[in-house]
Amino acid sequence: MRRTLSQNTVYRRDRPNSGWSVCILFAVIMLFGARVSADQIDLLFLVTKPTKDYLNIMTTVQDELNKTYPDKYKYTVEFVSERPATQNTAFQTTANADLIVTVGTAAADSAYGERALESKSIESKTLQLRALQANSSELSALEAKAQQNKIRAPIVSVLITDSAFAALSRKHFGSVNRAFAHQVSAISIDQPTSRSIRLAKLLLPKAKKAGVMLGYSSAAKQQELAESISDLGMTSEFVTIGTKDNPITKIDPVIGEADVFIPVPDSRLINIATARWILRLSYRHKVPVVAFSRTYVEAGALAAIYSSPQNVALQTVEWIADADLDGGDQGQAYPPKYFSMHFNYSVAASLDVVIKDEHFYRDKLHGGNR
Amino acid sequence: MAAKQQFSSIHSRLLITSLLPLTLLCIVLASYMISSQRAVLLANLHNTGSIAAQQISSNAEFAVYSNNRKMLRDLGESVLDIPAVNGLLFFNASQNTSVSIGELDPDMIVSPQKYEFAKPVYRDHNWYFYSRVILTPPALEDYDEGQQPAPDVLGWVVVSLTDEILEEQYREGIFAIVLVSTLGLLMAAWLSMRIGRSISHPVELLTGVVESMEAGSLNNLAVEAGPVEVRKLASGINQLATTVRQSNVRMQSEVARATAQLQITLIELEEAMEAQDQFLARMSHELRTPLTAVIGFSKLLSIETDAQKRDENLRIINMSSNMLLTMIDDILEFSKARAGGFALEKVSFYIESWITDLMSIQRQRAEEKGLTLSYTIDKTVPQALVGDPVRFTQVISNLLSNAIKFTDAGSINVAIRCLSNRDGKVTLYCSVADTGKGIEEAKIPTLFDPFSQEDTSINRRFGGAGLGLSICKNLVQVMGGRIQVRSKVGQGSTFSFTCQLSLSTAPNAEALIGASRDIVPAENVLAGMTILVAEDNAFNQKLIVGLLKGYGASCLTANNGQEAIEIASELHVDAILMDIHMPIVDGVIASETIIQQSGESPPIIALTADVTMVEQERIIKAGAAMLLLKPVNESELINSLNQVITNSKDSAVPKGAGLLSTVVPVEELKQALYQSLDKLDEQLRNNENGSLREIVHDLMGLSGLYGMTELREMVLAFRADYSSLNAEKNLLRVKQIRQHINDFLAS
Repeated sequence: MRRTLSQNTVYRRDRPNSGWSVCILFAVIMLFGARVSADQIDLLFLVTKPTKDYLNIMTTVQDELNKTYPDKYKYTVEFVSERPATQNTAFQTTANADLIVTVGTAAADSAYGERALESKSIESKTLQLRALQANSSELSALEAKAQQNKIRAPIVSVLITDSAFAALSRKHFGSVNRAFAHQVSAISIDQPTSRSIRLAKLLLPKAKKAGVMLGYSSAAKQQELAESISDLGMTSEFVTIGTKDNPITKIDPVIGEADVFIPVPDSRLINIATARWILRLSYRHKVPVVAFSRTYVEAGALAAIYSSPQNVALQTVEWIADADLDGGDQGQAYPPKYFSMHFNYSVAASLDVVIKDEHFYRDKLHGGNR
Repeated sequence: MAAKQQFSSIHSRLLITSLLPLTLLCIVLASYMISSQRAVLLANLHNTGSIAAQQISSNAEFAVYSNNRKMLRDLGESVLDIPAVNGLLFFNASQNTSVSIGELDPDMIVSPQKYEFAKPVYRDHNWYFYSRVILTPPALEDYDEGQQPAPDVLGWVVVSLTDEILEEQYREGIFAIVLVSTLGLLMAAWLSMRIGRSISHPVELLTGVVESMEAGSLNNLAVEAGPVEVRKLASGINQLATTVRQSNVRMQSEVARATAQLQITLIELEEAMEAQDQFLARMSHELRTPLTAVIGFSKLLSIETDAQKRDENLRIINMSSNMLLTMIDDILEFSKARAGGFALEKVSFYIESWITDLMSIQRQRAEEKGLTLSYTIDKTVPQALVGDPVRFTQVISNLLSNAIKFTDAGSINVAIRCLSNRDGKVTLYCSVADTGKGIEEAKIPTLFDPFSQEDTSINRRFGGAGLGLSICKNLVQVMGGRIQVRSKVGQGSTFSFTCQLSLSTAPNAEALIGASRDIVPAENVLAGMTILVAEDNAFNQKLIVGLLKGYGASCLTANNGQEAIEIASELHVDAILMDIHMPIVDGVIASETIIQQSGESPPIIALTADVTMVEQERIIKAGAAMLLLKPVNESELINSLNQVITNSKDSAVPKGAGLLSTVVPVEELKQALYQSLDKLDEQLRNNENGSLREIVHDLMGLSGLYGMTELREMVLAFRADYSSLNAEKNLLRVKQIRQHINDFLAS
C-alpha cells in the first residue's frame, strides 16, 4: 500500500494514526517543495524505525539531494517497525521504486527478503513453464521478465555493520556476492580498526603495546591489524572471544599487559558480552580503551572513531548520485568514507591522558575529507 | 475520710485536673514514641540491610562473574564496617556458597531458591537480606536494533544484620523517652502545683476569712489577690463584711435605743404602778375612813339611847356615807372617762339657777371653814343655754370643793363670763379663785394627771382620790374647752376653764330645769302601788324594799331573772326594779322576756353598778324604761318610780308630760323615730331581716323612754307578728305606726 502524501514525497506506512509519524511527515512536507516532474526518480526510503538517528540520515539525504538535484527524486518513506506483525515480506514494497535506500538492519532485512522472494518466484515460474513445455511465447515473456528483473532497482543499505550485512546476505541470498548480484549494496558503519589504532597511538604516544580483542567474525583481521600496530611502533597482543568463553578470564591478562586496548567490532553477541568486562578491566588496570562507538565512549572508553548519521547520510547521497539505475552494476560493500570522533574527558583525566583538539587528530588520521 | 476531704480541696482537684490528663498523655505519647521508635529502628535496619545487600550485589557483579574470592572478600569486609552488619555470604549461580564473611552460621541461612525476595528473613536475632547479583549487558552499539538480552543471575549475596544494636538502641530510646517524659511530667507537676497554688491559695484565704466571719469576726478583710474572679470574690466578701458590720453597728445602736426606751417605759410603768399602788392604798384608806365611821357610829347608834347623841351619830353616818358615795362617784366618773368619754346631754338650762344651786350646796362647807364664797356671772353671759348643765356644774363644783378644801382663810370667788357669742355658739370662761396655800410651780404640770396630788400629805390632810382635776380636765375637753391654773404659793390659786355651749331658744327653760331638780318625794307617794324588786343581793333587796315601803308601796321580790319573769307574768305589778347582774337569767334577758310577753308589761327601771356604755345600751335596747346606777339615791329612785308609773298610767291619754315633753325637742324625737321607721320600711321592701330586730328594739326603747305606751304596744305587736305576715301587711303595719307617731307628736 502506497500513499502519496505530497507531490514529490510519498510517506508509506501502515499505521497512519501514529503521532510520531505525523510529525515526521510534516517535517518532510516542509522540507520539500511541491514540484512534480515526469522524469523523477522514485526513491524509496525503507527505514527500520522512526527514531532520531534514522530520520536524521533520511532527511539529510533528501536535503542534500534536493540541494544538488532539485526535482530529480520523488521520495517515498516506509517504516519497517510500523508494518503489521502479520504482514510477510511478500509485499510489493519495492515494485515501483527506482532506487531503494534501507536505513538500519531491519530495513535491510526486509528489503533483502522481498528482493530474494521476488527473484525466487520468477525463477520458480520459469522452471515450471519449462517443465510443462509451455509455448515459446510465454516462456520468452517470462524470460524477458526475468531479464527485466535483472535490471531491478538497486538497493543500498546504510547504517549496517559488516557482520550484519554478511549475515543478512547469507540469509536471503546465500552469500554476500549473490547479494551483490541482486543489486544490493551496503555502506558499512564499521570504521576500519586501523583508524582506531592510529588514534590510539595519537592519544597515547608512549604506548608500547596494544591489546586487541577479536571475535570470530573479525578474527580474520588479526594479521592486518598486527601489521598496522607494528607500523606504529607498537607490539600487539590479540585475544579472540567466542560465545562460550568467559571474557574476563581471557581479556584480563591481555588488558593487564597492554598500554591501550582496542576492541574490534564483531557480532552483536560478542560485542555485548565483552563490553562490560572490557570497560571494568580497563578501569581496574587503568588501561585506556579506544572503541568503535559513541556509546562505548559514554560507557567508559577513552575515545572512539565512529560513523555519525551525518557521515552516513553524506556517503549515501554520494552513492545515490552515482548509482546506475539501469542495472548495469552489481552491488558492492563500501567501507565508511567519513568518520567522527568522540572523547571521554573524564576518563582521560583519570588516566592522565591529554586530549588535544579534535582537528589535530582528524588531520593526523588522514581524514581530511571527513 | 481525711483522704476524701483532702481530695475534695480545690488545690487537690486542680492538681488532679491538670496532672491526670497530662500523665495519661505522657503515657500515651511515650507508648507511641516507643512503638514508633521501634518501628523506625526496624525500618532503618531493614533499609540498611536492603541497601547494603543491593550495593554489594551491584558491586559484586564482576567479582561473582569472575569468581574472584579475594575481591568478594574485600567487598564483604567493606560492608562489615556498617554497624549491625555481622556477615555476608555470596552464592554463585549454582547456589553454592562462594564466600562467607563475618560471623555467619550457614545453617541459619535459607537457600536463595527457597527465599522470597524483597523480604528479609529473621532468625536467631539476625536479619538476613538477599539480593541477586545480576549481569545487565550494556548497549554499546550506536545503532543497535536488537533486543536487549535478558539479565543473567550471576549469584546471590546475603547480608546478615544482628538486632543487638537495634535492641540496644531500642532500650536507649525507651530510657530516653521515659526520662524525658518523667522530667516533663515532673516539670508539669511543679508548674501545676505553682499555678494551682496561685488559684487555690487565695481561695483558701477567702475561705479562712469567711470562716472567721462566721465566727463573728467581721474585721478581717480578704486579701484581693490571685485570679480576677477570686479578686472580685474577695472584693465582694469585703463589701459584704463591711455591710454586715455597718448593719450590726446600726442594729446594736437600735437595740440600745430600744432597750433605753424600754427601760424608760419600764420606769414609767413602774412609776405608774407605784402611782396606782399609792392610789389603791389611798383609795383603801379613803374608803375605809368613812366606812369605819359608818360602821363605828352604826354600832354606837344601836347602843346609844340618848336621842341627841343618836342624831349626832346619824349625822356623822350620813356625812361619812356621802363622802364615800362622792368618792365612788369620782372613781366611776373617771372610769367612764377612761372607758369612752362622757356622753354630753344637750338640754336647755338657766345657768344662773344652776350656779345658785351649786353655791347653795357648797356655801355650807365654806362657811364651816369661815370662808367667803361668792360668784359673779357677767352680763354678757346668756341666761338660757343649751348643753349639759350637770357636767358644766360638775366641773365648777369640783374646783369649788378643791378651793374650799385647800383654803384655810380668805375668800373663794366663782366668775363666769362670755368669751364669744356668735351664730348660736357661746364660749364661756369660768374661773374659781381662792386665797389658799397655793401650788408649787413644779407640781402644776402633773396636777391634772390622774391619781396625782400635789403631795401625798395632801391626801392624808384633805382626803380625796386625786381624780377630781383629771375628771375636770376630761369634762372640759369634751365640752370643747381647756382648763388651766395660775397659782402662787401662799397667795392662792385660780383654776379657769373654757367651754362651748349653744344659745337656747326654749322659752321656759328655767321652769323645766327647776321642776326636775331637788324634788323631795312626798310620803306615801307610792301608796297603792305594787313594785317588783328583782335583786339577788338580800341586803340590797331588803334595803330597797324597806325604802319603798317607807313611801307606801307594796313590794314583791324576786331573787333572779327567772323568778322576776314568772312573777311579772302571773301577778300585776306597777313597776319593776331590775338588777342587771343576777343568776339563772340576768336582768337584760328577763326585761326582754317580760316586755315581749303579751299584754301590758310594767315599766322596768334597771339598776346596775356597771357603768360601761355597752351595758347601758344593752339594757335600754332590752326595753327598760330607765337606768339607775347603784348605790341608789333615794329621792332619785322614788321620783323615777313615780315618773315611770305615772307615764304608764297616763300613756293612754298622753298629756305632754314625762321625759319626752320635758327634755327632748319634738322634732328631734320625730326625726329619730322616722329614721327607724324608714330603716324598717327599707328592710321590709328588700326582704332583709338582718337588722329588723335591732330596729324594733330601737323603736321600743324610744317609745318606752319617752312614755309612748301606745306606740310601744304597736311595736310589740309588730315584733310578735312580723315573721308570720307577708311584706305588704308588714308595710301596712309600719305605715300605721308612722301615722300613730304623726298623730301623737302633733297632739
